[in-house]
Amino acid sequence: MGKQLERIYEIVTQKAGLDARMKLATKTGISKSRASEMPDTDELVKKFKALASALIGKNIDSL
Amino acid sequence: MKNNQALKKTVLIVDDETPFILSLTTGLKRYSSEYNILTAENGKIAVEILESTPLDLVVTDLRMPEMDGFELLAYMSTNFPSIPVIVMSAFGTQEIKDRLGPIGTLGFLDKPVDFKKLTNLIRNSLKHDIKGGSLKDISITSFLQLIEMEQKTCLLDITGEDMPVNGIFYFNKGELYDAVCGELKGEKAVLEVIGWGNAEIKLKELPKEKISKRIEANLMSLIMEATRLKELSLQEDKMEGASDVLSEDVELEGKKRNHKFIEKQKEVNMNVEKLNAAVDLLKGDLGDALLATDIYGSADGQSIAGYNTQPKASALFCQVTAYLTKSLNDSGFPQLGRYYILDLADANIVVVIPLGDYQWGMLVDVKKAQLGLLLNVVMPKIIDAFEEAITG
Repeated sequence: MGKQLERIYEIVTQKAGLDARMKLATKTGISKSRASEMPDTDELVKKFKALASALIGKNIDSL
Repeated sequence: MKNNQALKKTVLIVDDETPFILSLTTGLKRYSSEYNILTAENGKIAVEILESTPLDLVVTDLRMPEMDGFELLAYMSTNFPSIPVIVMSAFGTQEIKDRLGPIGTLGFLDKPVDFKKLTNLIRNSLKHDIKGGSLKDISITSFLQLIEMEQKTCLLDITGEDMPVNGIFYFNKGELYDAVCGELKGEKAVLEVIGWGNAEIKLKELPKEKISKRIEANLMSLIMEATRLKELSLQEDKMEGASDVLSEDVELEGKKRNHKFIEKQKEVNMNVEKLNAAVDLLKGDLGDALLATDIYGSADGQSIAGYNTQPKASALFCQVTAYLTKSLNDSGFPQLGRYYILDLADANIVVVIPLGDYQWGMLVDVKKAQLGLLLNVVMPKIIDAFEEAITG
């Protein structure tokens, strides 16, 4: 459950700090702990990746 | 032969020093098969030639009588933006040259002019013409830097594309004294105008009354700050774009799964109960070691929750974080990580955790709490709790 979403949170925090993590949480309305309990649907993962890439300034898939 | 003539380029050299013009035209005669040379002794004559003759390149000095090189550049950027320009000056520092270098085909040449460098630059600029580079690529920042470099006193009138008001900049001997843009004044006006693209620059007649200095920061730091703000704004736009798509799609999913998602919004919907619970969590974990704590807005430094709250310290530490972030950025260091710590007298520490739109600061007595425990156990817990509060 939510492994991919949780991993995206970890990458964002690692690459762009807590500021970026909080922005990801605010924009999605889903906290890291809640993300870890949610199903990794293709749609959610895709959208989380889009936001995370914008925050990091790099395509998250390339990391 | 006729075809060759038709393919030949025309270069206009603008300088008020007659001996320099003469030696230059004589020296460039050997390239007469490649390009024609025209000359003008000031900007006014150059404009007359521009109006009557198709040109491929203009090489101009900046200091001239009648109409100087700045006025000529401003005129050309509006009326002949596709003609590349090489600027000659005796006042260019390496830093300025480096910054001007990559801008379109605007070349820079030191005076006294090295003839070989000039001919190379002319040939390169004429080649670049094929690629379509032009004076329209000249940015406001390059123009301002040229004015600073030449220590010029002037009044600039800058019109931005689709901007309802103009920006007015006043330079005194190359120093930026004041700027106005609508209701914005001084440094705020500079930061606004520098970010405009496709701007039209005009030199206006100097005012009769004395203009006092309102801008304290130097031009370079303002340019860097404007660049940083622009990058931030671009990132925000990108985020908004991604967020829009997310909101729409997730809302649909949310209906199915009964999850509540935040739509595109500027303000964070803070859950006050959860926020206070996060503060209580910190209090509970640190006990007497926690002397004071505040969660405050990054924009205004105003505390929204805390214990033994310190409004003044919150506002001041908000500024410290901003300076620290800018210093790291300007120095090329990596950006701030999860937190920063100040080691204070009497075994006290201040820990500040930047959390996007908010920051969490705390004053801790380390005689009563282990730092490792705070950083590795307590901090992750309170960050999770804060995140729960901002996501409702």
